[in-house]
Amino acid sequence: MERLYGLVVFGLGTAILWDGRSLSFGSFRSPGSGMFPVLIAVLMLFLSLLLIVFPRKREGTGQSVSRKSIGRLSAVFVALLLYAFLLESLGFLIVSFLLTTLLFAVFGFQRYWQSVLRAIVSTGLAYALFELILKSNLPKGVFGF
Amino acid sequence: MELLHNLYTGFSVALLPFNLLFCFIGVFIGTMVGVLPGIGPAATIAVLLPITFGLPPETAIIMLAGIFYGTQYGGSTTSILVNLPGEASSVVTCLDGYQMARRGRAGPALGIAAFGSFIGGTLSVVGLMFVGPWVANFSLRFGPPEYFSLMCLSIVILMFLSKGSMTKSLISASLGLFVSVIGTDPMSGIQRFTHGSITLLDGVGLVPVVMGLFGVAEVFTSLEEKEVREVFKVEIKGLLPTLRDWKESIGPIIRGSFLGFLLGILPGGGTIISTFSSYAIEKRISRRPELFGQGQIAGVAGPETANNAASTSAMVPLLSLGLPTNIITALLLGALMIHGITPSPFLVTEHPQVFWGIITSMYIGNVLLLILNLPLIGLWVRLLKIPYGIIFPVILLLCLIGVYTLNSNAHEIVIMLIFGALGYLMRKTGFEPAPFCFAMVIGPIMEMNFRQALIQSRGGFGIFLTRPIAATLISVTLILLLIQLLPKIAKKRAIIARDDGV
Repeated sequence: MERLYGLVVFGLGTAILWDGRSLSFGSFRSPGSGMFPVLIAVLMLFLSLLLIVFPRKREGTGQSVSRKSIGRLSAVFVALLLYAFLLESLGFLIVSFLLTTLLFAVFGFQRYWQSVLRAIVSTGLAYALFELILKSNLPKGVFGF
Repeated sequence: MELLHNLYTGFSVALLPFNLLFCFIGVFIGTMVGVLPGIGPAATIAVLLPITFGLPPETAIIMLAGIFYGTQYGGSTTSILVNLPGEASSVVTCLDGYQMARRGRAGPALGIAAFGSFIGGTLSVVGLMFVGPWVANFSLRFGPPEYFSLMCLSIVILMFLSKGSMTKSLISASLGLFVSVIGTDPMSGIQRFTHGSITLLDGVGLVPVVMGLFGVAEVFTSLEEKEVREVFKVEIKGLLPTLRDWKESIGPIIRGSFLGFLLGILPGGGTIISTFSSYAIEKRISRRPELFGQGQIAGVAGPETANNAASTSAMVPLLSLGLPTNIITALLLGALMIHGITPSPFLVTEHPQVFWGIITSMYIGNVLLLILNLPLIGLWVRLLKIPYGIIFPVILLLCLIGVYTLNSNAHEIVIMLIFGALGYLMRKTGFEPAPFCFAMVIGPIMEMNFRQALIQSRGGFGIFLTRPIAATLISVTLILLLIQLLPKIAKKRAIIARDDGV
């Protein structure tokens, strides 16, 4: 596993060098905007080689993840991404209500009305705090609320 | 006389009703976060950062600093009552604190933890008052090479103290450094790695990154864990320690204060390491070391004092050098810069109301915490009973709203989610997120000082080795990196090291 991480980091370092090739390196007398990124990338390449050549055993093997929690995790992640994309078109109240309903359901409230109730309360409280008290201009969306 | 004048300046800022209110909000939230597992001070400060934009800078920092030292109080409560440390810095408190609770002495354990924290915090503020301006004065001799070397040293010490492999921590830090160069280069105005994105023109924001790495990722990790919490059901009575308790605790409290203060100042050092050292010292000098781990009050008093003293003295390098030593002070640095104040040796003279206001607010914060934690302990115990199923959705919602309201930009949410996923993967693969975040904050300062040093020396790297202060700092950095190769030390480090302050 350690070797695999090393390869990923090596790839990242190479990508940074490639992506930053148009930035001027300058000279040591007058360093350009590309010098620091190049040095960081070189450091990354060096460290990734260390990881590839001297991988440590019994290290970094995090607890294995069950298939069920991968499913829950991806569902939550996709929901959060959708939240980001729909927030401005549908408005804060609708998307927040939908998201929190889902989250309360995923985090263990089996009865759906419990989740709905909690979602209404938390969305309402968040709205009161951020919109009414802190006046932070939450997005209204196409329906005008 | 000058000190009295400075104190007057400080208290006239800190005692304004408005600042008093925000100090209270800060320590209140801090205690709450300390009690609740799953969210630490870093994520909390990031979530609340946007809310402070409308406040004057000193008020904002007074509140955010309050969260930091407030969590040190709150963390001890769960250690003692549930045997589950709310924060990493109260792990040691579990050893004797929980044992005391099991023998029906939860009250005195909580009491001495609060009093010890109060004494440690207060003594540390006194030390900060004397040492801060002195350090600021000394560091006027610092030029770009010294700053650059000092930052290299901080990164390496931070890594030395974080768990897991040093190579991986360094990789994590170098990734953080890379993320910090994304955006417009401040020295030439050229765009770097932005790929035409408008959101990235100002760089990757600190707030979405921290919320992602420490808020969202924390929730993701907890999604797969089962909830195991059992609050101690014995009624808590007699919070005030007896005379005998005091006799046994006063020594550890005083030693803990000094130890915490010294370790807190060091770059990379901090609250966690001070608790372990304090416990080790108390056990070693005790006449009956075999009783430690069975409910010795000294084992609670020492470490609880030390972590608070350390969290206070960590403000010394931040306020007088502009240099954060751990991830929390790195966030406070970010907060100060958002408010248009760059902490530097000149902060004391240029913004005395900020410098002294923050320091004196910590006196007041400690008094508030004592009141919050002794009579109101029942409230915090009740908070422990809120199920994760409610806490986590609320944390996620707060992160989403907090990031969006920064610039009313939904792209920032996407950035936060990307770093949330990254943080989760890092935790799973044994890369620490703390060095990443720390490097990201000091990256721009590091790059600027590096480039200026090279310009100053006309391209000679010798400048880092010929100036005495810079040379010392660089040598210590190299020594720390090299002794990693000695297996004995590497082993020891693995035992004492804990992730700092997060």
